[in-house]
Order: sequence, then C-alpha cells, then structure tokens
Amino acid sequence: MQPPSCLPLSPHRVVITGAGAVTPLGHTPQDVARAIRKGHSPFRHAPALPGAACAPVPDFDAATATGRWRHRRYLSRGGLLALVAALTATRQAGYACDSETTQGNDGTHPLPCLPDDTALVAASGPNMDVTADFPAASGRIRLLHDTPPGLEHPGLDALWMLRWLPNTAASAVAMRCGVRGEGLVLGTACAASLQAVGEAARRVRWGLAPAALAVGGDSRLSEGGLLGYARAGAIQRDLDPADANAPHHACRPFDTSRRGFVPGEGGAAFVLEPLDMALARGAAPLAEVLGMGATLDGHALTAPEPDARRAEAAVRGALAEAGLTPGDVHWVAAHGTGTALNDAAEIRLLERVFADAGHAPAVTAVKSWTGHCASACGAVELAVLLACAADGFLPPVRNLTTPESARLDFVRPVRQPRPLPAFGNGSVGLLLNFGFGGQNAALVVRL
Amino acid sequence: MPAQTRHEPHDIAVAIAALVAPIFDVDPATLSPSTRLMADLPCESIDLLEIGAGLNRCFAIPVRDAAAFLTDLRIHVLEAERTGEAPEARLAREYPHLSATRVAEVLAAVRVPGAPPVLTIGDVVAYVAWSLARHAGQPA
Repeated sequence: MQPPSCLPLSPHRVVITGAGAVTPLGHTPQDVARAIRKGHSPFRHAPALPGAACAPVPDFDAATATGRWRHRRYLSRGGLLALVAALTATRQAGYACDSETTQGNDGTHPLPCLPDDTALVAASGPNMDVTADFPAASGRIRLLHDTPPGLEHPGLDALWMLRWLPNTAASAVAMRCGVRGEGLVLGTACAASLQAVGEAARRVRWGLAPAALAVGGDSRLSEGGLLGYARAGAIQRDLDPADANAPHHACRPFDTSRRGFVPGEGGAAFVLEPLDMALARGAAPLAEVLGMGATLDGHALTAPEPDARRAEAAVRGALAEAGLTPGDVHWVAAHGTGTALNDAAEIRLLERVFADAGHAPAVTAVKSWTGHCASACGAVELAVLLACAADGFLPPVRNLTTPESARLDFVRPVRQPRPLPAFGNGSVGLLLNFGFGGQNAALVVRL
Repeated sequence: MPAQTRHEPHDIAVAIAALVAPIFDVDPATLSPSTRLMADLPCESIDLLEIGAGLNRCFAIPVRDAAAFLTDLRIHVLEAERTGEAPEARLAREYPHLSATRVAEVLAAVRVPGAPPVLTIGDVVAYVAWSLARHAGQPA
C-alpha cells in the first residue's frame, strides 16, 4: 500500500457497491429474501454426526461457480465459498474479475479493473477437514502400504499445504478479482468477517485505499469440523435421527429452550468505495458503512465474558465511530448463536445499551436462518440483511417461542414479516459477532 | 495404481495425460506426446511440482524433477560449452531417457533466443518409461 500523499481533511463516506453471497438460503439476494419470506429451512441432519443438525450450502458446484480455474484444487471449501462470493461482489460493483474480461475481444464494452491499491481484507477460519489430507500426511497410509519412514507421501498433492494456509483464499481472490493493494487476513474467529468489513471501510474512509474488498468464507461441516464442535460441547447433539423435522427446530437463538448452535457454511464479500466515487461512476450504493468497533474479552479461550462488558465496549466504539447514539439504532442483528452462554451474555449487553436507556430497536438473529457460518458469519449475515432490506423487511428469529428477555423487541416469526424500520429513510442497523477467544466485533450500517 | 503393469509408452502417455489434464483443467483428449508443457499449456513451476508428485503416485517411481522436466537444460548446455564438452554428450548423460534424435531437437531449440521451454509430454513419458525399466525387478 502506498501511503497517501495526504490524509483527507474529512473522512470519506463509505458505501457498499457490490455484494456477493453463497449461503444455505441461496446465492442471489432474491433467492435469499424469497426463502425467508416463505419460511424455508435449510437445516438438515448432519450425515457425519448423528444427532446433530447442519445448514449446508445446496447445489454448490465449485467448477461451475468459480469458472474453469485450475488452481481451485488448492482451496478449502470455505476458500471456494469466499472466492465465489468475491467474484460476484466485484462484478456486481461493475468491475472486471479476470484479466481476459477487460480485453473486450467479444465487442462488448470492457469493464474497468478495480482501482490500483484496492485493499483486500479477508476473514479466515481454520480448515478443519482433517480427513481430507491428514491420513495421507500421517503415518497411517505409510504403514498400510509398508513404505519406509520419511517424508515421502505419494498420496499427497505437492502443494497440499495450500488448503491449510490461512491466506490462500485471499491470494485466490486477489488473482481472480485483480486486487493489488494492501492485503490483510483476519483470524479473529467468528468476529473475523464483520471485522473485515469494518477494517475495509476504515481504509476507504481515511483515504488509505481508493476501494476495498472485504470477504469471508468458511465451512466446518466436514467430519473434522463437526468433531471439533462436538468435542467442545457447543452444538446440539441429541436430535432423533428418525425425526425428519428435528433439524428445523434445532437452532433457537434467544429462546429459553435453546440447546446449542447449529453449524452452517457460506461465503460473502463486499466492494466498498467512497460515496462520491461511487456516484461519479454511476454505481448504486447498497448500504453505507458507518462505524466499527472491536475488542477482546481477555477472559477465556472459549466462553464469552458473562456480562459482555468488552462486547459492549465494541458496540459503543462502533456507535462512536458512526457518530451515533443507541437511540439512533433501528435494528440489531445479534450474534445470536443459540448457545446458553452466548445468548445470555448478549441479552445482558443489549438490555444495558438499549433497554436501560429506553430504546427498543428490533432484534433479529440471522443464524436461525443460515446456521453458524463460523468466521464467515458476519459477512453472510450482512448479505442476508441486505437481501431482506432490499425486499423491505427484517428477517424474524426462527423458532423463537419463549424469549429469554421480555425487555428486548425480538422480531418474532409471524405470518407477515416485520417491515424494515425506517425503510427508505436511512435505516440504521447494528450487527454483532463474537468469537472463541473473546473476540468482539460490532458494525453500524445504514441501509 | 499397479503402475508396473503399464510399461508400454502408449499406456504411459495415456496415464500421464490423465494425470496432467486436471492440473490444467483441460480435456485429456487434447493432450498428446507432442504437447509442450510450458508453451502449449500454462505450466508453471507450481504445476511441475504437482506433476512430479503425480508421477511418483501413479508409477511408484522416484522422480528427479531436474531430469524429468529438463529444468537445468540451459545450464547444462552453457556448462558444456564452458568446459569444451560436446553438448550432445552432456545432455545424453544428464537425460539418459531421451533418444539421440530428441537430444538433437532439444539442443537446436534451446539455442533459439527467446524460444519457450522445449519440454513435451513425450519427454515425460520417456522419463517414466526409462525409470520403470531401470527399476524393473527391484523390490518396491
């Protein structure tokens, strides 16, 4: 990244001009909004872990989705989801993805490339698909084939490690989307992709980059991923495998009967630009990013701090960066995992920030529709909210029959969806994500 | 794969085409022994690593990349010229899997300024055939 010749006297307003998402609900905003309006549940029994549910991305063919690209073999499933979302977001913003598309050989008007020095901020979670490469990498295969000890493992690709490196997906996105500015890969667990959007916005706001691409993609539905969650006791595992409806009721954020989260998978990406630049080139802003806050609990390696005091600091930091107060917030997209500890701490936070001050923003929990998309959850949830907002409504919290707090205005699942508050008039939303290790992120947007 | 059953050059070529095609996301039928890996396909060093690993996996042979992929070809020619050795003899020693005719072709091609790398799928087939024959009868 080249340092700017001078910092702007006033920060730029930052807008999202392109959004791409690959989600359990669908891969276009229209499909996502339609699925939620119809009450479509993407939850299924998890084949690899009887008793557990999951929310897979259906109909995802990597070859079709990424186009013929020979290096896709080096991406984990999460990396593939990130790449596809980034390609969609870049194209939607009106920029070319692959160098050949800029040549215009077919007579079409060539699309411009992203500006020089466009930043890439990518969220990255661990690939936990250990059954894919580890048996070949460990001694198991060697023993089976009676090969001598050493580091000769003929079952492995030469560059198998690329599937495990945290920045491989970001490198793929940079290659395909033509991003050549600062690169940053965030490993802040389930707060990472919301933080990526906020970090991308900050770079554009302060003139450190002329544009930025924020991206996240993650999948933990492999045997290794589910095993990790199962051993940690974080997911519900007592579903009746014979009950076809059981998965649809497993994810119950903020309900007194919640029993743990349900893993999902997905990818989402956003192109962020200064508002004036977007308008000058005729791009249509989808949302404005107003502020971000991020903190650490410094409390535990897995559990959230029970009173969510540092998460509250992230919320207040995001509002301060946005120049807003809690009373300006029309709706909250909570982290809302459906675990006992997360939802209890988050309720305390929301009650302190909003209810105690006499404010009652609508509260939703997108994970009740997508499952928990791990490090990609913030980006996926923002994409789902953009899709619903474009259709004029807020998604309800599925399966919420007995809310744990009567002081918060949860969006309840009723026959008609809740209209987006202040629809068409600067609807201000607060998104929250928290991660293992006490990672807290908050983002304020205006739709 | 029981690679030892595939000693015929044609079978080796078919197996290598099947190995190489997915690396470049192309149809195996478009590949032949005359296909130039670096000039006709977008082959980079990252891909040679995968091809080498694939040869090792498919044919159960040790793969010496420098020989199989002619990676030090120009160095060998320069070194021969520096020491006064006949380049043909030097290449025949370094690349014992190549025929004299192919060595002559390779040598002529490498002397053309700016010419792309000469490595063909046929050269890799020859390396595998030579390696299989060399290791035939030895315990796996």
